Amino acid sequence: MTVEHTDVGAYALGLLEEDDRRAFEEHLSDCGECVAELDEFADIRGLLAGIAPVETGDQTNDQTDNDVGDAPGEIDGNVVDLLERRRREARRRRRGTALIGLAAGVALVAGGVTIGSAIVSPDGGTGHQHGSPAADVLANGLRHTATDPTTHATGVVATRPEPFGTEVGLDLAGIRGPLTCRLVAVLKDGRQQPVTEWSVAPKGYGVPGSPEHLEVHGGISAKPGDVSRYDVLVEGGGTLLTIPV
Amino acid sequence: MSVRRDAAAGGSEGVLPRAVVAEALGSLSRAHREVLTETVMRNRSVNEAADILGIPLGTVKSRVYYALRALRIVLEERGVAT
Repeated sequence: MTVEHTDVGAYALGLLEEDDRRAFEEHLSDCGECVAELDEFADIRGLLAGIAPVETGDQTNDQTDNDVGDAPGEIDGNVVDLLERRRREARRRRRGTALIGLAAGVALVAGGVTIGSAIVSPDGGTGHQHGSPAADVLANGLRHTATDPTTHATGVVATRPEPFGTEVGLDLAGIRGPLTCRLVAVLKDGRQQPVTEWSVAPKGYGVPGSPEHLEVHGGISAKPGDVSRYDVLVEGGGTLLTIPV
Repeated sequence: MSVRRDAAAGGSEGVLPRAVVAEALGSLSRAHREVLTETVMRNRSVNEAADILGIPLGTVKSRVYYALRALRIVLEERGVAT
């Protein structure tokens, strides 16, 4: 089999079969170009996965494209299956990642270390590795979104059940620094569990002049269903954003 | 666990305007939309889609790639992708 650079698209969407996938991963390990493109496609994959569950009703009505053929309205029927399949596939791929999540949880208990922060960079800059745990859980996990009307911070929290508890990814935009932030899970019984911490440089994330979003990742010991909301807290006091789940 | 219900309930107010994404998909060329429909939307690998579409695997893979690039550009125009 031959590996082409353009395989990166099918790889990003999880469409390659096992042999091709392995071959491409080998190629990825020494092709910076493909790593950068994978970053670009990572959010598209999230968008495609995210679009499905709520689009069924009005989508065909909104469709102004006269081109008949595969009406996007048809797309939605299989989406749940698709999401489930992606989730299963991710689980297979993710054995290593689960351990990272676990280690992250442990590290936090030990003293609040910043972990797993990665920035999706459209220009392929920074050391964002393909398949960063944050991107993975954001693409495959159960997503909840919120925007704070006052701070204008906007975020997506994605969660996935794990044997150790819950794996959590956060995509945050609309923030400027300098700030030190903390993501905590607020449980239904009122207790809080820390997910991760990070700092925000002055230029910020997801704002004019700095379009990249911040993606961070962590884990908690509580099960997904035990959490009532995720709060992004600012060091020194204050809540940047609350995301109910 | 109620993944389905939660997934449906979770994103009515989205940081990612889903209607825009659906509309962007509709604005792709027929071939691009077809290849995304027959793969990612219908839960098929590129190999399976190649069989169904009756085109070579390599073509499906490169078409997926160019479809994603096209989609990305459309989304950027609409201010969705970063």
